[in-house]
Amino acid sequence: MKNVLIVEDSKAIRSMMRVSFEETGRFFAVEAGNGFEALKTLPTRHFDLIITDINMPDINGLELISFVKSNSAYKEIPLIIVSTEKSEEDKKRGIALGASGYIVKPFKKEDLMTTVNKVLEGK
Amino acid sequence: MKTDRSIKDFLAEAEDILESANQTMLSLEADQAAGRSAPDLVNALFRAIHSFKGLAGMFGLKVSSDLSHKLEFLLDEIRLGKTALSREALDVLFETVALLGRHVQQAGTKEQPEDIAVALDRIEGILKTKHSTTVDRSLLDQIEIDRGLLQVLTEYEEYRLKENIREHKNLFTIKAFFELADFEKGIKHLNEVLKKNAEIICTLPTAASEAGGGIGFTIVAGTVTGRAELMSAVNMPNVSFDAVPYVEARKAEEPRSELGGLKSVSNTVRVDIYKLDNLMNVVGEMHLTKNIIGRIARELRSMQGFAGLSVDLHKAQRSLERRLNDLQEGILEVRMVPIGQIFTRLSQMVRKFAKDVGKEIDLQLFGEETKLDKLMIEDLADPLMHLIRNAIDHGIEVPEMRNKQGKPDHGVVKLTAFPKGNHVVITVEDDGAGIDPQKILAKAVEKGVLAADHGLDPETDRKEILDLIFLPGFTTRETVTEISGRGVGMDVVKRNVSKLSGMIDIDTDLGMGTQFILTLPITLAIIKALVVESSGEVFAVPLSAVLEIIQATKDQVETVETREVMAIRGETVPLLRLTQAFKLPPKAGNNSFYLILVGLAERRLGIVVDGLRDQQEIVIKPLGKRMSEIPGIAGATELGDKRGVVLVLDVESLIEGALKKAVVVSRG
Repeated sequence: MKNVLIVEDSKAIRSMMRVSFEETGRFFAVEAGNGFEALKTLPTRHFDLIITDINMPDINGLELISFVKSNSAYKEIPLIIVSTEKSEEDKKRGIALGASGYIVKPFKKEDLMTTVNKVLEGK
Repeated sequence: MKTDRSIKDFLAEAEDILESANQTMLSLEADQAAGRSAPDLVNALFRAIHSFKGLAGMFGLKVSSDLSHKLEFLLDEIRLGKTALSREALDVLFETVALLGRHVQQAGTKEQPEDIAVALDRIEGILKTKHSTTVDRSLLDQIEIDRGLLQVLTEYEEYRLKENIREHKNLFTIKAFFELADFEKGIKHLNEVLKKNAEIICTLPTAASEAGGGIGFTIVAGTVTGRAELMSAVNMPNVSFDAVPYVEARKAEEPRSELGGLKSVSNTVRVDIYKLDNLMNVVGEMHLTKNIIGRIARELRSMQGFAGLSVDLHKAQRSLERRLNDLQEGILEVRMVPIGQIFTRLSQMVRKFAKDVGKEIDLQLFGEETKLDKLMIEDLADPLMHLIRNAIDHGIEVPEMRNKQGKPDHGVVKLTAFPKGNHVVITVEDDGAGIDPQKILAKAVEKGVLAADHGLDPETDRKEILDLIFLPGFTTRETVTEISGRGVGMDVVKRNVSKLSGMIDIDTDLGMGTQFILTLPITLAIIKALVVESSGEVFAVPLSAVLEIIQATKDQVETVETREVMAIRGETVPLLRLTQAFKLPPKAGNNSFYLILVGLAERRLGIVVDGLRDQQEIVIKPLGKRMSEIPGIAGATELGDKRGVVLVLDVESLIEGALKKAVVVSRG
């Protein structure tokens, strides 16, 4: 089982993603509703993957990516950005900061899994 | 996947989002009515609609997703300042959010969603009112901030930062450190307090610095509030504030305190230059008092002889003088900053200008450590910038032309500063086309700044001809480019340099390049002056301009073309009588007089005076508006004895006036 952290401020999308992960039987998913929750959750267990939205209040996805990548305890964890087609520029910045992949909302659960698999294999 | 359960989740969340959007819009409306702009609220609304869109998309509500997509686009334009948040725009926001609300209702009851065609048109209509704002990318260069921090900004955050810079708000990087266990409470409290006083631009979590755990945050905030106020409003331990300096306000010798520690490592203080000015004024007044004591000491000595109280007073006065000089030097030293401060700013501009005109420029800086009075440095930035612009725009040729002449593609602009006695010399040099004296002559006549029968020879009168470019209304180029600006000519550069009691010279080699040489006193705050007398009037002459004092007699004066000159060691120096310059009644009689030989850069002038008084430290005070335009007078000063207030001569403009008279057509 791989541990995945889902950081997304929409509860419905978040739990939908969690269900998608857990349906595969390969993942244990932990939800974080904002950047602060993510920061709190990170030290609680070892994570194999982080999926993060960009547009969140307080701490945005880019700031979270920067934090993860500059922290020796977390910097190896691959990150996937959840973005919308409108936030093309921010997506680019996220990749520049070290995110391994991205997925554009709205997406199907198959798309999510394809991206996740690609990122985890590529590691 | 669309189970009843997840649909319910969707409906609940969608309603929550739209409810909060409504609240936000009401606050926005209130702020708008009060004439306030509320970037935070617009962004909150954008985020709400963004979330709604994501939600609607994920749950297959195509119609709501399309509409919220359009609405999100509009809000993005508004928050990035590309579309104005007008009354109409606000109306459209309210209507659209209401429609989205009805969509959610209809999804709950499994009805067909209401049509969105009209709503889309309405949004489109607002988008058409788009006003073009160009966000200058170089705005970010105006602040000194950790470049790494800029990388984590979203497009919106970057826009907000630029807006804050544009409005010249105070920017702070605020560093907070919390225990991991309860950081959330701490950071939320900090955010709340900050939001009341400032706009939070971004919040970057940073890794704990040591093994003990805990988490740090770096917040960038913009505000009109000062640092002290902000700090006392926050009043939390483990939170430190660093002002983000604007480039022009930077002080080079001030080491920036390194972060991390709660105590500031730096032991420097920032002082308003005007406070130093006040101190300098006090020193000036003390010099006056010292002079009075000196006079009393002398009178006492002449009454009592050099004994008893007269000796004590004399000693005390000498001691006071020494301490006073120390104090003065100390204050002057504080005012001095390396000229490299403006050099850095200028080099940033050069990069931009060069790109704008499509030329490659290699800017070389020399003597950045040369020190000058802070106030003078500020006033020097403009003239220097103009000279450099001119060099890039008019001086340096386009690459093709340079190649033809065997010069490398990139032009060189050299900026040099070095101290020279009581002065600092700054040169701006390019390896461009140079200036053709013939062209200047033709232009000067055409512009009417020079009489047609000027009789100037391009060979022998080269210097006089080159100086013509400093005259008002003179410009050799027909087209005004964007770079060199409109209406600001070399005359303005010259005037600005003159205001600083400085002088500007030009040297040029056709095809090889041009050099401008600025000679400036190190400070204007307090100067040594020679007190002289002419026709019973007393004047002060800045000692820094005085080269020597010669006692002469009338028969040494010669007249060349109606102008008085005198030969000094083989060099012919023009003379100026203060009685003539200021239309004083001439005093008949004396056969002998004193000649104050003054000079700036390479120019010389002999000022004829009747007598010498003494030498004093003076603080030059500006004259009122009415008198400030009188050429030859730099200001007034108090001498602290019966002579009271006297005028201080402006040597630069006197030299200028005396040397120019013959050539230039009077424009007054």
